[in-house]
Amino acid sequence: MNKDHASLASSLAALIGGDYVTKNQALHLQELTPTLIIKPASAEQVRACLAVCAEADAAVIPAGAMTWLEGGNPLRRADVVLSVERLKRVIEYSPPDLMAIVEAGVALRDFQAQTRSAGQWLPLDPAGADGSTIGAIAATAASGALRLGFGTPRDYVIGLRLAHIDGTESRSGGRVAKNVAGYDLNKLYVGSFGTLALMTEVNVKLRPLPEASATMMITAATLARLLDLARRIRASAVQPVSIFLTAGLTEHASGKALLLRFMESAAAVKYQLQEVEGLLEGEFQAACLAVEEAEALWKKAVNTDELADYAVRLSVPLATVTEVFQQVLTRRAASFASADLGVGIIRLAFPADDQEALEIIRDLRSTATRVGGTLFIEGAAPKVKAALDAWGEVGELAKLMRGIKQNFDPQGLLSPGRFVAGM
Amino acid sequence: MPPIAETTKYQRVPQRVVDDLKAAVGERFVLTEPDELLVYEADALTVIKHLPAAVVLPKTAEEVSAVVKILAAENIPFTPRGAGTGLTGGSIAFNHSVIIETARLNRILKIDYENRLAVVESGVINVHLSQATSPYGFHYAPDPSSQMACTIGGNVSQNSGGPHCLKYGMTTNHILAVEVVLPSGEIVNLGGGGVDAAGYDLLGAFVGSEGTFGIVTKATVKLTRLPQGVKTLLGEFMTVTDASRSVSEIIAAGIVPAALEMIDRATIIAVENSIFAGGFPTDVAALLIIEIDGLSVGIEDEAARAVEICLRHHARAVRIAKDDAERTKLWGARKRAFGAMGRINADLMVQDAVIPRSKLPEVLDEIYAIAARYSLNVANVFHAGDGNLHPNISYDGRNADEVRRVELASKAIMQLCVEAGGTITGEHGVGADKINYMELIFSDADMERMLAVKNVFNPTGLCNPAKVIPATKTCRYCSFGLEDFKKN
Ligand SMILES: Cc1cc2nc3c(=O)[nH]c(=O)nc-3n(C[C@H](O)[C@H](O)[C@H](O)COP(=O)(O)OP(=O)(O)OC[C@H]3O[C@@H](n4cnc5c(N)ncnc54)[C@H](O)[C@@H]3O)c2cc1C
Repeated sequence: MNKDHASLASSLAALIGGDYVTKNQALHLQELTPTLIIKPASAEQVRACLAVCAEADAAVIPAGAMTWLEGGNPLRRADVVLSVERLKRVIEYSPPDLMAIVEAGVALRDFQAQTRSAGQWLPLDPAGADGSTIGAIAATAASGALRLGFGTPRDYVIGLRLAHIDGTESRSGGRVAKNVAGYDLNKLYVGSFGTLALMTEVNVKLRPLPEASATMMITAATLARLLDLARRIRASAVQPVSIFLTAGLTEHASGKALLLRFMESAAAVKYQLQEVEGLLEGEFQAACLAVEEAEALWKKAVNTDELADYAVRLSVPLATVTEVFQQVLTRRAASFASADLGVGIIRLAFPADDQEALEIIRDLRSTATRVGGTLFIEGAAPKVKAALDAWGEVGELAKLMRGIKQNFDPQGLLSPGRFVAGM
Repeated sequence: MPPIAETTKYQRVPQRVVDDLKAAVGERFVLTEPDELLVYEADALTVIKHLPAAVVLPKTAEEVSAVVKILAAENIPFTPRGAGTGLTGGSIAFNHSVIIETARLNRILKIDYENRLAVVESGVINVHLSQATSPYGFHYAPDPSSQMACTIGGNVSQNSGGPHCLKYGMTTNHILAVEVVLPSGEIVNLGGGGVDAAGYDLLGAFVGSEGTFGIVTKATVKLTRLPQGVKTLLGEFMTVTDASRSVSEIIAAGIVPAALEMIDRATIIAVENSIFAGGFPTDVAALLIIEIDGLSVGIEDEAARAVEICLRHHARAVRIAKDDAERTKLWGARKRAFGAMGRINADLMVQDAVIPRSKLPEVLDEIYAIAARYSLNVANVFHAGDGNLHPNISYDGRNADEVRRVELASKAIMQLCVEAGGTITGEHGVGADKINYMELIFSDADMERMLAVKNVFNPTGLCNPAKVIPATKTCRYCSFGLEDFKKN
């Protein structure tokens, strides 16, 4: 630990007020216990705090609602957790332009409530806690069950305001969705897990809320039948915004279910439900779920990591997703799993002891790699995390990525060790 | 690296280097004679002209890599070029650079419907991919109006758009991976090719880097299902304001058209007087092409709502294309509008800027006023649905005073759009033409960060010199020196 933290604390307190600089005891990030938790109130304060931290050579962990600070690889150092949760103004919201500028600490849930009254939304339902902030969602590029229909944060972040570790500030992108001026640095910051800079404001584009939404749950005697049905649905005219196969998430004899969601005009939703019913031929049980039940199930389908100690997410080519899903299920029959058949994402949670978990994850990663996919570790015991990279290898690209990290954070102070390739 | 001096005279590549290049790609595929080089002195922005030192046409990524290595070892800059349809001078050979043209990288390598993707070499013409896949019910969605000629590699580099990007997104939303020859000659693959890739989104940063981060040799692109139904409407308006109000209201009403284009009278007349005539009425102030696609059951209702909005804003009539032939004709005329305008006068300055769509009525009025102030003719044909304007000015390049007025008016239009909350380019890029407008929207600190990324891909600055970021900008975070940029 750095010797200067007492003077660091007082410098920070001088900047943002003593109430917002707390000595930390309760928050542990795996083996590490950060010394300070600070909560600046504005982009300017964030900037000033970063400069002071850099001067003191203190490692800074950017945070939003502080719900997922252990994501990624174990940190090498953690001196100061900088939460932007007090940056929670919606700076501008222009419904006719389907655009908003929000501070990074705005909770997605609160923002959605505001846009909903204008008939619009940010169509993201990322895995993770309910109070997740828009900054953290952008930083982790977190997506959920709506990904097939609507995409990921990458598709919605049109501009950013950033505070850099050297205390400078910059902006990327702009306020309009279509914009090719200069390099598209939004893409680099989104999904950088707080290792390049702190986002203080996020400009997003919005979409009109669909007129109607319906979730259909279909079950059958065997998994094979459900897979076959899913294939026929994908080949038909219907365009679900989510199509998932789940295992262990619903109370059915087989434990497996096919979940479909349609969001469009009422007429189009109705037509699609009828089309699907036409493919069922009596051997399936199908039901449309009530709104709350559907919401809960979709949440569960992408938050499998809450169901057991170990959780992984595989991303595989579309054509292989059902085959890999079947392999995953045989490898871990007693687990909770979902497969996003439209995107090629498989989420799996399972209980295991450390040694067993290590083997299973290695095994699953090689299954994913064999078909050209990747595996991300969402949740694992510290020992296992220490032994395996959360993302896997980045190979030949490590050089370019390190070069970028070096130019943005030469002292290696932003979430050190959390990201790929030891960055 | 010492800055490379700019002279106006054509400068040869040393014979020894030419020999090496010929050995790498074949005798016939290295052009060095000034008369052969002439067609490469400009792109579709014809006002800036520079003769390249040579043009090389490699056939494979390995050949591109070999060429890059030969040139880099000699400190000779190089500029990637696709079809040369760029409108901002992105592929102009500044600093006597050698053009590396992708015309021979023209194979569609794989079409994979199960994974909904295709792998193509970078010189493949945009429309060829959709032509190959549409019989199977798929297309490559980004459709720049130049799609009959422009290359996928050019599209990746420019993050190109097109009429249907309103609903389907820009090029960046459709690229799953690229194979790139870095300015060092190293071949790397960016992006997961359909799966989530670990680490920084280098692919996302690369798309739109305008040939300054490296040379694309292959791209893995998304294939999109063709919609079940399409309805194309043509709204006829007696004032531009009524047309723009209709646009704002259609978007505000929650309708997401596949395309929503505006064509003003000056453009209509140019088109109708050309061989591309689309049967547009010539007595209106503006036309809207509104295309709604999706499931057949859904589009009827949306189309009816769009018609209703147009009529409420005093549309004289809203025509619905009765069949595919009529639809194709409408789009054919729309997509050839720049070409038709090019015939009004000797030269055409195609402009590209974006504004928040709610500001369309005021900004369009002001654009016509600016043109009048400088005694110029402006014709607007643009992607109204996403506020992406193309105020095009026809002029005579031989008239020095007129050229000066075009420059002043262009700048005034850019400033207007930026003040309205928009940007200096929505799809044509910065290239050389807009480099001096970058300061209108980005601070030095913003551009320093851009250079800090460029520096990682292109540390010597040899790849496509003097584009995108003004040469006066330096980067504290970078190790390389200034690029030498002079406009003439
Ligand atoms: C009539 C007309 C209509 C147009 N309509 C549209 C439109 O609707 N939407 C739109 O977005 N654009 C439009 N454009 C602009 C232009 O067609 C696009 O920018 C297109 O993507 C350029 O492709 P190209 O192959 O011609 O690239 P080029 O003009 O050859 O090059 C463009 C840039 O990309 C770089 N580049 C090219 N190939 C590579 C490669 N393989 N690797 C790395 N860098 C490369 C070049 O260095 C240059 O900076 C139009 C142009 C014309 C003339």
